[in-house]
Amino acid sequence: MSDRSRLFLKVALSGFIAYHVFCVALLPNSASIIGRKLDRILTPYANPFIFNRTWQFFSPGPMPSFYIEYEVVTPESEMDLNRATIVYPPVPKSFTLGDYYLRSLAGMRFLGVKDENFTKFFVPYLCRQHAGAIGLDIRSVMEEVPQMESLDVDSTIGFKELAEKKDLPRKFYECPGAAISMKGDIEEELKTLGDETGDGSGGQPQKNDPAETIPGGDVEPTDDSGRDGTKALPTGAGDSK
Amino acid sequence: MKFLLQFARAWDRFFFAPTSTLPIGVFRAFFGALALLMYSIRAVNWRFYFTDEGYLPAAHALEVLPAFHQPLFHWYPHSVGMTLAFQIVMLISLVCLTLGIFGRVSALVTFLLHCAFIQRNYTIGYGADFVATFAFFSLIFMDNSRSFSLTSWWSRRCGRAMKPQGEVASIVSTMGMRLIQIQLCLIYSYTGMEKLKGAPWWDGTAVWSVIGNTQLMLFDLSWLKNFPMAIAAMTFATLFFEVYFPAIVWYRPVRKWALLFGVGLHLGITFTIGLFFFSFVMIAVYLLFLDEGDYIDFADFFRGKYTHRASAGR
Repeated sequence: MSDRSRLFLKVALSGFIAYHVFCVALLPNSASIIGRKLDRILTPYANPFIFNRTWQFFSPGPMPSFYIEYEVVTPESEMDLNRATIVYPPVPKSFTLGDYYLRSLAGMRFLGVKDENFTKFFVPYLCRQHAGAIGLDIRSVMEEVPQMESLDVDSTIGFKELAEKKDLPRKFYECPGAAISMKGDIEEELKTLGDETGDGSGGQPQKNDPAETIPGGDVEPTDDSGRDGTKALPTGAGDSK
Repeated sequence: MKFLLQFARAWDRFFFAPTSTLPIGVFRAFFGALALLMYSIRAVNWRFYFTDEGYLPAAHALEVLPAFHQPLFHWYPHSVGMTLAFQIVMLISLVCLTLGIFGRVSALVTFLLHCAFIQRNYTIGYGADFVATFAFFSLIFMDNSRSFSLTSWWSRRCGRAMKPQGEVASIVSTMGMRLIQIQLCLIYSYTGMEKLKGAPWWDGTAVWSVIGNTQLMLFDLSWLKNFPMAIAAMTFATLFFEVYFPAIVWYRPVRKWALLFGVGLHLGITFTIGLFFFSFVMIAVYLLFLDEGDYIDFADFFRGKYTHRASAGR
């Protein structure tokens, strides 16, 4: 290889290195003014190859446990107040090398960040898992661990019992294509239940109510909250694995 | 002018100087095997993840992404048959990559298919997938089949010397290795700096919140409440490691200690939170920070021939 060819190769590669490193160094902070100004020259390269990731493992704070609980509403169970509660994603009974649970969790959180996505993609999927379902009564559940100093030193209570469960107000989602003859009654029922809980919400999510947002999960929608209207998440929600 | 020349020389040395192919070969084999295992397991549920039987129909696959992250072009599979074909080709290319057969081509094919699957369903991706993206990408440039591969073993067995490494291959190979090393530094520094925004990382209780997450924890560590100083030490050590990793890993006298701490941290994550693949993908990249001499020492240690070598010249 001649000196000239070698120099040409190294200069060309240096240009590529500079561009690539600039992309991967800048895009995790794409909300910065530099990111906003230069996104047109960075994202055409970074987005197709997924070089646009943010890196926020357990930050800014570790996320609390988060899952959804739902009840399947069928024409027969519309008025039943004791419907079975299903947890999603189902927790594996023992350790497995497989990451199906982690992926399910990631998917649920990602879609849950934006109610539009949750309703459009996730609800129809859950409905398909339950033949005859006309709707789903879904609530988000967050479990937070109490402060270390507040615990009794001699206590032998484990985290499962210690966890402070926060049931966020629930929401009724209609299954696509389902004929709901008594939708009004269900809403009325939810309102009554909500009033019983004393939150004054009537069981319905309020404006800026976290119930409309399933926190946690992937970081992208959070980062772009100012750009595309996705909702802000509580502390720790930007956590990703 | 003098400064510019010095900078250009340092740049040239760092990005293009010939490096041993042994660490690259070990990295390729280890990471390839890990990725093969990870994506074989993912393939079990391929219909749920990547076909319309799951929650994300192919026609709407990119809708879940914020506008800022929409790719300009995509090549994800749209039909069941295409998805299956992609799966099979990806697993075959991963086998080739692990064994070091057509290393660069295998890495390129794997990288493109890996991106295709992430484009198809971005929602199920987690840390292991996203770090793996960069590892596959860097392997495209690295001369990855020259050591620790079926190709090199076969050449030796047949008594044939492998074709000498070309100059272009050497230059590009070093560049590929540097790209993933820099990427690892960026990952740690960003995640460390993000932690600095969070109160639990400042008050020393973040690890308590992590081990209290019953959704991820494999067993109960609530007894650690009796050791608050240990919780605080683990929290601050993690923070310190992540923030300073990009600086200390390049400083040879402390490099091995930094990597050793990182291995401990990731093994801790593996055995408590169960993030097996994520942890080992991160550890795999560490292999590129070791010199050829380190591998020889390691091999000698297991053969019982270990004698401490002077660090001069290494």
